[in-house]
Amino acid sequence: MNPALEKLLQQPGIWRGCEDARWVSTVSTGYPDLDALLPGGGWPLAALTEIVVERYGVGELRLLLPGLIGLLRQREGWMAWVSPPYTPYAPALAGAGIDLTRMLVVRPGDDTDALWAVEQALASGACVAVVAWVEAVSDRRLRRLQLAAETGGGWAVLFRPPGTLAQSSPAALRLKLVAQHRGCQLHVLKSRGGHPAVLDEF
Amino acid sequence: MTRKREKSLSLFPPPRCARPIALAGHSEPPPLESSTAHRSQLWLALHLARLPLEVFSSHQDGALVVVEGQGSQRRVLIASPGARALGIRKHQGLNAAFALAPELAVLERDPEQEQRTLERLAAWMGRFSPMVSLEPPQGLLVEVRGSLRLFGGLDSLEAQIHARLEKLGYTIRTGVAPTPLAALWLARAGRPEAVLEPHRLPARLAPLPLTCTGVEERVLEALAGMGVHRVGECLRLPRDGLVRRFGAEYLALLDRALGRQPDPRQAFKFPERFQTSADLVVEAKQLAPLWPGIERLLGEMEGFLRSRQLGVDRLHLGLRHADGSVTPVELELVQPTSRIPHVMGLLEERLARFSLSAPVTALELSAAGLRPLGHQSGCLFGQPVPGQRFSGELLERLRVRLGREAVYSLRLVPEHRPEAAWRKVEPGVVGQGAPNDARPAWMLEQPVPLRGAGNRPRYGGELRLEEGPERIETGWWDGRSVARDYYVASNPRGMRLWIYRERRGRRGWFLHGVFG
Repeated sequence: MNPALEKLLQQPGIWRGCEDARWVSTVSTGYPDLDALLPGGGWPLAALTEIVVERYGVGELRLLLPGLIGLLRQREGWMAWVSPPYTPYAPALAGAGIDLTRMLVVRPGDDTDALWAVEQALASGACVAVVAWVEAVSDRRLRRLQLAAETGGGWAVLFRPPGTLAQSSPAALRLKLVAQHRGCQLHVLKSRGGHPAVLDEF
Repeated sequence: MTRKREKSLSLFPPPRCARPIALAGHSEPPPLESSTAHRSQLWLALHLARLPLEVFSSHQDGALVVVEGQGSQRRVLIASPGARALGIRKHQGLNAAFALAPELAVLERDPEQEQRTLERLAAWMGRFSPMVSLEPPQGLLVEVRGSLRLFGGLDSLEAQIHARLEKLGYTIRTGVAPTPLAALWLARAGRPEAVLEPHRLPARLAPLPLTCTGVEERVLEALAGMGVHRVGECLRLPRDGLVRRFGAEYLALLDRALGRQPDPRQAFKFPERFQTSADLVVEAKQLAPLWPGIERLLGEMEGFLRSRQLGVDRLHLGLRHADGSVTPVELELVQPTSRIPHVMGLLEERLARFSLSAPVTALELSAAGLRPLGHQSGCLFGQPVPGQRFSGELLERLRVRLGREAVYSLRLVPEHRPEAAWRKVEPGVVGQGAPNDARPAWMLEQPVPLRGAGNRPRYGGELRLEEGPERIETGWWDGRSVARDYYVASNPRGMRLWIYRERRGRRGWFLHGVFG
């Protein structure tokens, strides 16, 4: 497609009526307000979710945890965290309800290896969820990750730095977390079959 | 003595006692039904017609011959398809062959390698039957009566054997008969139709040329002089005359082939270990030409694993160089497997960024760790295994490329010191310790000292203490004592942080965790 047209269609204000509004399946986010905003009523499975954060510690994990725990309960498989920015602290995660025996931490040496690991983990079908922290990803790579997620059926979450907002993305869901003085604000930038929205949360 | 029975219901007359073979009085052949043992046996013979050529690894595109003999007496034993196209044939002198194809590649026949290959293939055949017998130099015997049901019938079994051996790079001819010798003769003669009943043997063996019986040249010539070229003609000769002229063993040979005498075979003893190697015809300067050879060796290993119901969890691939040194490539797996495509994928991944230090002349493969399949090592998977059957394979694939320590799981440790309350561990292992949902999800590797004076620490702005203090004072017994007051703090940018004030030693505020 014409790149200028593609860019135009990525604008949050444009709603495409022909887009298929149903996802294959979703898992509840654990937050009723957010569920109401997302098509399918939850996080999209077999698809890519991109979350843009300016800084960590604003509640980005708290956002994901109920969905991850629910998914671990419903399905069998690993939950893989690839290149987390800090050390995942086992007592806190266990306290939140995560089954540590189902969790894999993957620490590749660089972004290329990290993207490869995410693709492998998604495509294998052995992971119910893959959460990855990456910086620069080419458009082609993002498509491959989306495809890998569709193949394996798991939930893929990519945390990206703020500079990447301008890049168009094949992700099914794009969110932005903006830290407020207390708590944070959630912007739904793009969702397949839904509208952009803003949620003042927590 | 024979006994007659009144009733005979079945198609085959009831068995009689085996008559002892008397040295005198060969005039009457013992009846065909005298030995019941072989009636219930069905032998499949494999004749590897091109074994002397196929022991050398697969590259057979060019003109290649295997010769045997000494010095100037060397003659062509087998010619590759490329050489045959140029007119080279068996028994030609080497000079004649060179005249036809100046760039001919010549290999000396390697009987030791042939014997080793035969043994490896015998071990590989163990996947089809427990009773395998060697018939050097180029034959294998397999007793398959008991395997027919499992492999879906004789046709299916033969087809599978053909397909798999061809994939490994061996050309075979098979013969099926109730006696080992008959099966061998049929295989050598290239008769694909199986003989299933002993009483059909004389008729089916009759048209075979005597050359496929493996009898000595002088006997063959003598028989040819009498006008006897085929087995059937030989069978019509008077038995006493045959014994007088050639000796009793030739008569015994015919009797064994027809099932009149038992023909017990030495069972091949399956090796405990798997170790194999293959010489390369042309030395390889890059990795790409090695893959067909590696695939072939892995195929042999698969046969071995299947026949023993084992899985491999440690693999050693050796790349041998001209000076005798070996470059090792080790592969370690999370769980024993016999799935060769997966192992192949891991090897490809491991060798993807490999560069050869010297040209490779031979490949070696051995299975260093063998374990029974189907037993999950208890310590790895204490909890129910994650559903996917191949979940261990994902771990292996990740570790092959990223390194073993790059993939791990977390475990709780019963400890008050926050940094010691967890540990890296093999995936799936359960730990004991206390979950604590008041702790931050992110912990820093090393606590970061905070700026700011006195009671006003700063990190991205002035921090506001929200919860705390939580005093942790412990660890005096192992020298890493800790005396800290922990607080939950927030900064103007909206981050929630876990900080502490050091109460002993280096005073000051530190950042230890981030609430995700």
